[in-house]
Amino acid sequence: MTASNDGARLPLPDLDTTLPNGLRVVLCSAPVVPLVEVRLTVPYATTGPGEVALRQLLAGILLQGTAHRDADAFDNALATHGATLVAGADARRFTLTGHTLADSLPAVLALLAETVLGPRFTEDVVAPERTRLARRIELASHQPAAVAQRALLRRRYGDEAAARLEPAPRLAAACTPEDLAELHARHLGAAGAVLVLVGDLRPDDALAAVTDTFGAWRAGAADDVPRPPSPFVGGPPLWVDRPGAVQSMIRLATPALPRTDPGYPALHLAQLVFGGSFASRLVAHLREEKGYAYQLGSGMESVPGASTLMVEADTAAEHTAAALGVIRGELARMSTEPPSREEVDAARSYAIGSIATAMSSPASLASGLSNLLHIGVGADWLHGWGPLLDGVPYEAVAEAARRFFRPGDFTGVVLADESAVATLRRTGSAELDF
Amino acid sequence: MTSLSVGCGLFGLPLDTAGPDLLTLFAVHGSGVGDDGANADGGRVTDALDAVLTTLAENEVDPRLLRATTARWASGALRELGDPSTRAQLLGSREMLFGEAELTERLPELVRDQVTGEQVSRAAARLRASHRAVVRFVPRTTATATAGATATAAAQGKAVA
Repeated sequence: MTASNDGARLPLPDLDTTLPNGLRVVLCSAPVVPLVEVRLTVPYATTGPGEVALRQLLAGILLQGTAHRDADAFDNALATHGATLVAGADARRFTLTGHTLADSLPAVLALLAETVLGPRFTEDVVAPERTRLARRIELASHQPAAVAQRALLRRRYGDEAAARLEPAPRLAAACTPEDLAELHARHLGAAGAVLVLVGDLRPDDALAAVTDTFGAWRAGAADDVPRPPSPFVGGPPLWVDRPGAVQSMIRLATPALPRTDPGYPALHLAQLVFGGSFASRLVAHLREEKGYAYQLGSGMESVPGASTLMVEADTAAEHTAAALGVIRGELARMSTEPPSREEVDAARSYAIGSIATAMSSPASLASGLSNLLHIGVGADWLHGWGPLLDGVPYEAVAEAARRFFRPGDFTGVVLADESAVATLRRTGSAELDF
Repeated sequence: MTSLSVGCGLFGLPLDTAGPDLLTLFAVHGSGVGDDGANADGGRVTDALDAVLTTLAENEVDPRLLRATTARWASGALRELGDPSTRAQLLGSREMLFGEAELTERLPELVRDQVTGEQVSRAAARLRASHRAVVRFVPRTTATATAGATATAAAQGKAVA
């Protein structure tokens, strides 16, 4: 490839170190504007069905004050420094995301530590948050995309394992301040946590501020980390009824290589040729030639220790069967007609250019780094990604195309009105021919 | 009240029109019983806005609140500038609208360091006296449709000058 791609090399972090309590600190100087982006990730093991809701409730009260000040006082203190913090939780981690004016970094780190180490567990804080969360989960669960996502998780992992990845509102509703204090003690420890700071900072000063504020954070359990999901097998897509839907949602998935695997870059390029970019085969065929779908494509979904190759398309109900046929045909063509040199080179340029664009602000660089570190790649990954892609031989892409795109290795769901899938249904079953 | 936001500009950032900026208040509130009830609800929102404007206009602005507000606003504006494509867009639009691209880069500092409580009070007084338009979307309810579908499918716009 051309030397111009060197310009797309993303910065290496200036500092990547781990405090004695196990908190990893990754600092990146990017003085574009006088701000610092803050990302704190605290991973944990997945537990019982629906219990994500409890972690989300804990995340919800993290910014509602501390032992020392109530929610208003806490927010005013942040605002004085031009700072904003948002807390969230999913099946695998807590995330605290925010930014501050650069000269206030030490003060804002102190506020962040204050709430992470000692949130306010009182009924007046917990009760409204409980109601809010239960309502939010309830509302989200009716969105078609969320229904499809939930059905796909069940199709991939079975009911029991899928339920461990989803919040149950009734668990949130029954959670007491004591339960939350216990959860906090069990899961919010420094061991395995990662703090990423990107922006207008001097690495030594920032590290000193982090050590001052988070040095006393207790380590917690070192083995409280997410385990990779078990691999799943291919099978016919399952029809999920959505009576009266004028649009169908197709969601297909197959296990792929984790990001840390040496074969990942070749697979990624194959995926871009298939459906991961605007010029890809699937988009050209399904959207531009046939006009069956306006929202479609493929992508890699990564979690610690595993990746999944996803193919998605939203189609008009009457084109559902035809669209599935086109997707199947394009998957099979990845073996019979592997990506050409031209296709691979175009995908390479796209991959290198698009990640440079996607990481071009301190905020997106901070989020990108934080997500990559969470799934287990090194802090130099972004820096090395361009050269890594440049070095992938054409034959490796063809091999990945043959290995990972076999239609029979995919499973999935189709959220649609009954009439849209009538021609595909197997007798007496919700399984569809694919 | 389900949600409430207030800001300058049509699309979330100030100085996006050649004329005077709009202050936009966006509120989602519970439906009333029929039009009269809904009007009463909407009226309470605008009454509350006026009460806040009056307080701001007639009293000294709390310096700590002013500092917190301007600092957070400035850091939000700086964050926009951290993204190259947004920065280019803002520089371009302000050059076109005001012949002053550099305003984009000066604005966060100007707001953070130079806005005074008296200026805020004067602005609040003017807003109270200025023309305003209220646009309300009221979902039409029918016995058969679900509330959500009705709100999307049959929203009616009612403009009240």
